[in-house]
Amino acid sequence: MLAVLLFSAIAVAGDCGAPPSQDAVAAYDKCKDQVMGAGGDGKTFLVDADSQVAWLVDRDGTTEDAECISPVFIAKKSQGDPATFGNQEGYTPFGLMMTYNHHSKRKRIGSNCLGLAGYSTANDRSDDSDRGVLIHESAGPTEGCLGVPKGTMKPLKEKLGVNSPVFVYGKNMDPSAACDNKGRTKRNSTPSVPRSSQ
Amino acid sequence: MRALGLTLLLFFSASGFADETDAIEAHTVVSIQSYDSHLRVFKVAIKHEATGPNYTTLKFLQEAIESLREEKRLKQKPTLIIGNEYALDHELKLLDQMKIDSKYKGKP
Repeated sequence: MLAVLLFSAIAVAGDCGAPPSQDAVAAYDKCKDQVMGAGGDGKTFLVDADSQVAWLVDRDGTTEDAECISPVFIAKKSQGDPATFGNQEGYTPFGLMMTYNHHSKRKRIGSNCLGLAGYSTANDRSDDSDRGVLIHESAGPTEGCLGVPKGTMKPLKEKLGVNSPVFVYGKNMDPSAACDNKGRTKRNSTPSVPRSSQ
Repeated sequence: MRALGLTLLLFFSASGFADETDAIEAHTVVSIQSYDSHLRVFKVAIKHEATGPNYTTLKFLQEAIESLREEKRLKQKPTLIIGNEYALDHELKLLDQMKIDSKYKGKP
């Protein structure tokens, strides 16, 4: 109850400024058809890496009842306006990803996180090495994960769920690589079943 | 509602990250990325997990990795183990990320 109240409080705390930008929503719109049939709770976590704000929007991109979280930390090397993306160590990747259950080896995080399965050229390395990019609570810049403020991970996990889309947007991203599905094809997976949980 | 939200945020901030100890679980494979001779801290990455940054000390590394305890040269030359990978025999204690990051901010 307290956690839900806190999440709501953050959502209305006024730190998020305007609703998601039209550019961010438009970029997600180009990818959303691929995830409309996915599982989860019908929500998408839409992250604007330039402003380091994220919204929990309806899967179809509707933003009327969007709840926001601010700040959302990204990798130190990626920070900036515009953000600098990458799928190598030390950078936050962009584009469409799907959540899965994960248990972190960092004790403070443990299971209070969501794994992010990369699905596109922009964020998939399943052919050789899995970076293990997560959403987890953080008090500052990360090594590539999405960091949310303390107290927000549990309600976010409840509201977003596993097998749900996460879309990381930034002005600097390559739209053609945001959801080209090269990673998913390699895993030979269906749209509704991302990589198996770890 | 807004005031309540801010009160809650202050409460959680006051009881937040700084007072909690963090560690990496035993049997995890880690790689030693870098060493800061000024702060005397190592930056460690968890294999197949992009969480971090993870900062620790030589003492904590030697507590967690038994093979490092016999390595006498490490105190004089901590960079000897940069780039190496180890499976942790015991949990590896971590330093407070925010405190280290704030010290980095103070550097030119």
